[in-house]
Parts: sequence; C-alpha cells; structure tokens
Amino acid sequence: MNGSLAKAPSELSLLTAAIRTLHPSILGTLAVDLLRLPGRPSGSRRSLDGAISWLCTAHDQCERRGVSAGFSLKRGWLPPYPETTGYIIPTMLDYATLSNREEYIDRAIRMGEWECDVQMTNGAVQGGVYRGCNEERIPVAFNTGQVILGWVRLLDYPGRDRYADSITRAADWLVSTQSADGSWRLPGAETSTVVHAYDARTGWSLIEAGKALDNDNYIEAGKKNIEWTLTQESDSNWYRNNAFFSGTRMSMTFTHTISYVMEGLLGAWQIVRDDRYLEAAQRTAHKLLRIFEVRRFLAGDFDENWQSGKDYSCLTGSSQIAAVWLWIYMYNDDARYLNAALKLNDFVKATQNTEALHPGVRGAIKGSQPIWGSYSAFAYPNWAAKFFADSLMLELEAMDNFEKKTFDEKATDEDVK
Amino acid sequence: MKVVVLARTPRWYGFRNDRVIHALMRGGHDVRAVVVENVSTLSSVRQWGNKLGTRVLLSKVLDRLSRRRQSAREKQVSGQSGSSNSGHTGIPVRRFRSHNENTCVEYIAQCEPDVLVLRGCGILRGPVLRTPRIGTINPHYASLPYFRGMDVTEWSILLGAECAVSVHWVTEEVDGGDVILSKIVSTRGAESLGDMRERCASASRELLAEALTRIENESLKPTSTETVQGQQYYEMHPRIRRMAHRKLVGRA
Repeated sequence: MNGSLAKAPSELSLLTAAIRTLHPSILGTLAVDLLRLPGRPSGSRRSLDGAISWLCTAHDQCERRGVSAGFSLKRGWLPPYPETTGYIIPTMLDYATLSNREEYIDRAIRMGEWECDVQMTNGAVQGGVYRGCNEERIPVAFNTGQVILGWVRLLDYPGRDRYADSITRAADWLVSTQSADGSWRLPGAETSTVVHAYDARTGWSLIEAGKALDNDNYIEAGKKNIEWTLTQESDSNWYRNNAFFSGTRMSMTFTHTISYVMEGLLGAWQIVRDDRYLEAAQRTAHKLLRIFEVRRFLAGDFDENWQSGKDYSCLTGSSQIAAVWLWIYMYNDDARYLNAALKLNDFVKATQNTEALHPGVRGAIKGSQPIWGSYSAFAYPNWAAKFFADSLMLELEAMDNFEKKTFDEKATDEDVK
Repeated sequence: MKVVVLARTPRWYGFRNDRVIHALMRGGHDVRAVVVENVSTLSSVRQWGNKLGTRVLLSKVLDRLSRRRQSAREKQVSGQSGSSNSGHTGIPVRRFRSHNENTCVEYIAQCEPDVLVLRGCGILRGPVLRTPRIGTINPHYASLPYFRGMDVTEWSILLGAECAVSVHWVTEEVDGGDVILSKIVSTRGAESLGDMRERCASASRELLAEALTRIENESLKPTSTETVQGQQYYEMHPRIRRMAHRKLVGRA
C-alpha cells in the first residue's frame, strides 16, 4: 500500500533478480519504458479480464488463501498482503456478478477466511505482508479498515457469523485506539508518518461496519474520523497529513493517498448522506480533472499547490481517480467526468500487457509508469490491478448508463470490447 | 478597422486564398498582416483528421486546390523576402515559433492594429493581447458562455444544445470575454461532426467581419462578465465522439 514491498535484498536475491530480468516479458517492459514507446489501450473488457486473471494468479501463488502482494522484478512473487487482500474481496465479488461466474465468489470467500485466520488477537490487521505468526506483527488502523470493507461484503455469503465476529473485533479495536480528534495516531509498520488523512477509508469502513451490524458506536466513530478528515483539506483542496513518510525523498503525497481520501469521503457519504463529505470529494476531484485535462498527464504525486515536476504516473492513483470521476458522473450526470475517466483509464490500459509470456506481468498493472517511478518501483502491486479492475467495471456501467441517457438504448459491442 | 489576423499553421500553408481574409476585406476592413505560429505538419494533419474526418478533410483539400488554380488565373500578387510569404494583394505573412514570443509581439505592435482577429490560436498571454488599440476577437464554435473550451461543437451536439458560432472578446480567461455577435448553425442534413465544423467555420467568416463593423460603428470595447459562466469542456474521448456523431446523424 505504501509503495515499498520488500526487505533489503541479499546477494543471492540480486543474482536471482538479474536472471529474472532476462525474461523476454520483463526485458520488453523495461525497453518499452526506457524508449518511451507509446502503448495502445486494449478494449476495456479485455483489460478488465486481464487484470482479474492476474489477480487470480497472484491468489494462486499463495495457495488461494491471501493474495500475493504482487510481482516484483527484484524479488519475484511476494508473500500475501492482508490489507490489500481485504479490499480485493469486493473486487472479486463485483467481477463475479459481472461475469456470472461463481469461481470468483469462491475466491473471495477463501480470501475472507484467510483474513479471519491471520487476524491479530487484539482484532487488528497487521501492517505489511504476512510472513507467519512468528514474525513481529504491528497492528495498523488503515489496514484494519480495509479488511473490514472486505468482510462486510462477505456477510451475504456462507460464514456470516465468523465474518461478523471478525468485523466486531476489528471495529472494537479501531474505536478503542481512535484519538480524541477522530484520527488514528499509531506507530506504523510501513510508514514513518503517524497520522493520515487517507484514514478516511478507515472511517468509512467503521460506518459500513456500523450499518451492517447495526452498531451506532461504529458509525459515530467513523463520522468522527470523517469530520477530522475534512479539517485536513487545504485552501487548494489538497489534503494535509496524507503522505507515507516525512522529511525524506519519499515525503510526497501520491495520487494514491489523495484518492483514498476521496474514496473514504464518498463511501461515507453514501451511508451518512452528509453533503459536506460529497462536496469535499468533488472539489478535489474537479481540481484533478482540470489538472489532467490541461496538462494532459497526471503525475504520480502533488504538493499543496498541485505542482509536481515529476514525469511518472502512479498507476494505482490514476485508476482510483478515474473511478472517482466515474462515480461523480453517475451521481451528477456531468459527462466531462466520464470523458476524463475514459482518457485516464486509456492511459493505464496502454501500460498493461495482456499477452506477456510471464504470468507475473501478463495482465498486471505496474506501480509506476515508467516502471522506475517513485511509487512501487519495478513491481506490479496487487492493489494496482485491484483498483484498475474496479475502475473498468465502473466504466462499463457508466458507459451503459450514458448510452441509455443519450439514446435510450444499450451500449454497442464496439464500444465495450 | 485595421486588423492583424493570428493563425497557427504548418510552414507550407499559404494564405493567398484564405476565406477569412477575403471576408474581412469584403467587409471593408484593412488586413495589415497575417501573423502565424508555426506548428508541425504531422500534428496539424492529425488534428484536422480527428476534428473533420477523412471525407471533409479531403473535400477541403480539393476545394483549396481548386481555388488556388482559379486565383492563379487572376491578378499576380507581390511578396516579401525573408521569413514571410505573400498573401492577398501584398498582405505580409510573418511566421514565428510562438505568438507569445517578444519578437512576435513587437511585430504585431508595429502593425498598429485596432483589433486582432484569431483564427485557431493557442493560449495568448497579456503582452500579445495588449498590442491592439481596441482588443482581440475570436470565433468560438458554440454558444458562449455555456460551452467554453475545446470540442465545443461536438459537446453541444452530444448534450442536445443548439450549435452556434459566437464571436467574442478574448481575455486571459479561456473563452471568458463577452460575446459580440452569435449565430445559430443548423444541423439539418449534416452527415458528420466534420460537416458541422465546416458549417461553423463558414458562419464564422462573415460573423467576424460583421463583428468588426459593429465594434467600429458602436465604439465597442472589450468586456467580460465578472463571474465566468458556463462550463469548460475538454477534448472529447473517441468513444464519446462516436456518440456525438450518432446523435447528430439521428437529429440531422
């Protein structure tokens, strides 16, 4: 989640990495990025199927329990990652509905069960990848919130009681560790910063938990966090306290975390219906839309003045922002958001290789474009594929919606292939 | 009115038979110069192809060749040396890398125009906009202030609004200046979005000349509303563009 996926490499692992790089798929990726050759976006459905297929491969790597954190050019397939496995669950369930195939529901259930198995005794979800119970595990508020989102979606499936118990334990831990101002201020396993605006997604998860389990305490705790999040909005509609690190070269605010804030606000709004949440998310989304449309590129990170000076894109953040725009389009019918989302999704689609020989690359989404950018460099994180898939599923729905409104008929195959 | 026309074209693009300049001269206005910002042929052709479509683009090329042959039979025109080439009856055409560069601004100022007329330009900065005695005008292919920005003809069609051309004052705010004249452009019988763009282009020529006459007769000065109304639109995605085409053909 924070862009750093692996421990320091040993000499053997460096040798392995060097050999791995010789694979045609990987050499090809490096060459394309080095030469800045423009990619060609596939059809949205093809790209979506490719991303889901890769997520399934990442799931298979960990015996179909957790989902591998991703494929790293340096370290190969990584251990399973509880946080992101948690929010891949809704993606799998949504894809199961779209494709009408139960195998994806089965996968989501197996992920949910694994999450219950590895949940910490205090109810929290650990930071970082899972290397077994004997390794030191640090509880993280954000990670706990993301798995709650997955468990909540599974309440409609067999095993409800177990998920409800896990949600309760996780939500109780979040409430017990929440600061008086609504934020969480806990030492992180993956971050040097302690307080995060992107915990808006954690606040949202508590609201979802409260709604699902009919627990007003959770809802109030979630709302308290969202209220604190709103105080972090700057005059330029950027968010303070939204970086993983401080005082180092990694102290920038990625589009990934900016998107987390918007998602948390929108998710909370859908239940609480406090228009301030929606309006705040829309302000930031509109700012990003103007930036993207005028600059014709979305950099991977921005400072408070929305300046970047960087020539890489955080593909996870780009997918998330496209999804936020699509959501806003379906809410307010402003086709400019749909238009921008199509373009941004095309950008990400063009970076995907759906025909690569290497299973770690085929259908995957890089951390950064080019691959050596500041976010999850030289890796294909599972959450990049997850958010990309979410954005494409939303795109299909939005285009269908737009066709109906424009012509009162269904989308044509030409548009969705 | 003393006018300088600003345009963006490839180096090889000539203005000898330019219909905008014809229209301005027919309207009794004094075209002092054509000042061109050079752009690459590839990007121009790509843009023309995207906006007009192959059929309309080919039709324009053939029409231009035909007009060139016709004018070759008419009076010879004189030209200037150096980086310029000649246009109508000695109207100088000067080329620069950018309209905003100092040498270009100085040249425009030397022409002492009353009004600058824009013919498909990029963003102009303050120094350029301050060169004319009165102001700068631009033909915008949609109803202002409601449809600002790019691909506005297409957006108007897609969103079910009337197509129009608006001649407006140019300020540093994109499409923010007040409208001087506007005219509805019919979609009846249009076969493509390129057709509609051509109709807007055709309407804009006479409208520009009319606007200049109105500025002169009514002593108009540049104005802009304090709160910029309407919405800003951006380049249309091909899938959305296809829908705009379908909608046009459905209602044409």
